[in-house]
Amino acid sequence: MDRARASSRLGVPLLGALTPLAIPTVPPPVWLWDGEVTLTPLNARHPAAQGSEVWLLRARNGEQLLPLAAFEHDGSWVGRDAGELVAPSGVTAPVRWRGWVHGALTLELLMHPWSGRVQVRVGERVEELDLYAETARAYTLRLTPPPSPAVRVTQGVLWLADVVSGGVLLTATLLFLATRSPEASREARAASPLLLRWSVLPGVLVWTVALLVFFPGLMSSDSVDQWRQLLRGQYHDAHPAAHTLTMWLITRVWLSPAAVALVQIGMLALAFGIAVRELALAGVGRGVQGLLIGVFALSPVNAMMVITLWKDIWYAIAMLFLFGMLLRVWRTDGAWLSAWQAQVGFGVALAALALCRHNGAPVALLTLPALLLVGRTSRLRQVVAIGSIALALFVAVKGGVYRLVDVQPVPAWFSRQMLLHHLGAYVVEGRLEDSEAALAAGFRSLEEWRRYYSCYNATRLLYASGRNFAFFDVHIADFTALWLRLVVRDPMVLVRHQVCLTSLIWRVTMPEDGYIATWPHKLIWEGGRDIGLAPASMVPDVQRAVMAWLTTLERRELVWLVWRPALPLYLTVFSVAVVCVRHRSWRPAGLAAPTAANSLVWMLLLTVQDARFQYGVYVISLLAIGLLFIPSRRGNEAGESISGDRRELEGPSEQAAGVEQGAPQEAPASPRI
Amino acid sequence: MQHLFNRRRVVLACALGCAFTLSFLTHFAAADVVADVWAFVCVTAYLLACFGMLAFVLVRGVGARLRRFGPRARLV
Repeated sequence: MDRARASSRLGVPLLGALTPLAIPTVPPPVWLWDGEVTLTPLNARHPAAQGSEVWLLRARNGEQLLPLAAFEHDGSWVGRDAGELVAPSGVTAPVRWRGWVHGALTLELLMHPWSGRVQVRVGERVEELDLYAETARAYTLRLTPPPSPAVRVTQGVLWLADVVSGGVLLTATLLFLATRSPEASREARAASPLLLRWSVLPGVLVWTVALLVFFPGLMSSDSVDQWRQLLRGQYHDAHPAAHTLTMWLITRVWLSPAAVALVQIGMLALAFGIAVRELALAGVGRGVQGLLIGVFALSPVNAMMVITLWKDIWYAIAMLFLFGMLLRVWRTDGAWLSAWQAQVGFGVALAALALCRHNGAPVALLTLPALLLVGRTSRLRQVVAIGSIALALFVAVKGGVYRLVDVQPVPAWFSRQMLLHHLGAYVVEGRLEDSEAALAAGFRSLEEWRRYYSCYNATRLLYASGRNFAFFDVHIADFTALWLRLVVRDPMVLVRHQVCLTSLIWRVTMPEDGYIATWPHKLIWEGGRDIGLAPASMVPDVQRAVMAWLTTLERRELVWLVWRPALPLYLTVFSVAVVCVRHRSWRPAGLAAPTAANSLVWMLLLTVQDARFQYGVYVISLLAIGLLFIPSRRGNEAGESISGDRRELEGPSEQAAGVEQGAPQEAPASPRI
Repeated sequence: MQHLFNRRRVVLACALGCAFTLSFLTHFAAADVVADVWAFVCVTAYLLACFGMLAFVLVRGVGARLRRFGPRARLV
């Protein structure tokens, strides 16, 4: 059996098995069932609750609204003006409904400070809910019968169908793309700084309009905190002070968030322009360049992110610069790396990565070795030089500038947020012994640990009132030892927690009970009013229309395509894989290093579901599509030709390898795969 | 003709067509077609035919592309 056939026999099942992970198989619907549902108020309440009411807001039979008048009760439940059915405090009489259900029966219950506990019975299954919440919100309960053996078999068959479909379609697409030969752009050699200008302009134009619509920019509570620091001249490193100091520097010209947004617009456009020029020099045609420029400029994600004062934007820009420079190293077979400008450029970009976010240092460290892979003539001493420049800049800022302006270091608990989040999982699953529970209770009561824990979000667990950070900081060694003991004793709890938490990174569709934080919906956090920070749109009517449109993009059926970062991650990996196969070389795999490193580090450090963490992956993915249109350079590789299909496989790539003056013209002897 | 419709390729295309149909139904069409049994049967049959043909073309194409990576492709 030849190697290609063996690879495909291994690759198809592997890609197929990964497909249902990224896009989980939909459970087979139970199309029609005889449903009997009983809601019984327990006249019991949470200690902080001010009542034991139960509010049934709405009910749906499949997709249809179910009139609440169809629910039977003894008259102690009260109908309200908007049609809700309410059991006042003290009522224990149940409300019942029985009938044929199409798919699932969905009940919406109100959670607020006056809500109590309720028992929900569906057939033989009984569940108790505590509806108390500090602020009012709806709780959606989706009821379906327990799966029968027949349903389980159906689910298995559907899963297998997804594995086969995903595996075959992905492999076929990869093969078709890898074996086609895009026309090399005739303008490849002529790609000039003029192209840089043209590729930059549409983005600058669209994003400046976005800034006017959302003037003076978007700011979350983090951004407002940083703004307060730069006004007072007192800095702390919880939000990397390097970023706060950069904003301080920019605002010496114009003390407005718009000044920072404008610089962000310029930097993102420049990074994009450089990467597009590299693609052009590698042989990507003008049509594809135009498409990439259009998509990048018109992307709603870019428009909202680039005008938001977040460290993540600078971080993403640094990642994009890195991607562009890696592309240049690959295109020139590593020759460019011998230039001092290249080494300084890489050093500055890696230092920026490490300084803009606390997770940036490991990402920079993981990206650095990719230079050895990407460039055929890259040398270890060049990589060491780049690493030294980055380290020198990092130390100069952290050790020199920070000391000069007296930056307060982050408290110990801040850098161990994941540890507290993990402990929450163990508390909720009841895996702590008495002495361990006593230690956990020192941070916050066990009841609060259970109430505030969510595998998707550590914010409430960390910041809701009742926590004791001082206790944690004093007993930090004990907490670390406890964490280690629990992980060794019961690793599966941590695995379940991480699988749920990191779904932001690897799952394309949104989990049923999940969420995603996108852009600051309050435009500028209201906590900044006292320092003069408030939205002041130049065109309020347009702003309202744009916000309504953006809200529709966050609906479950669209959010996976627009905001969730898993698709961009896979798109980059797939595009790089196509280039690897097309060139029969592992070298292009290094182009995915910033994307892979960032995703890997977040898999370990994530505590919330914020799209901004993977914004760098998003911007790179829009350019990675361009890699699919780089012609093969295999014509240059001695002994690699495929006679029968030579023309189709290799195309006119020799002249389109896009090697600029000074770059080596000889054939690259890439390692084959 | 015999080469074009060899039994192995047809069986593979049928199996793939079934898999594509099931995946399409569960991810995209289930909510719209399950209400009416006859509509479900007709839509499933139609999808099976369409996806079966698509699978047949795909199997041919993939086979041809795979051969370009094989050792025989390097013989001049």
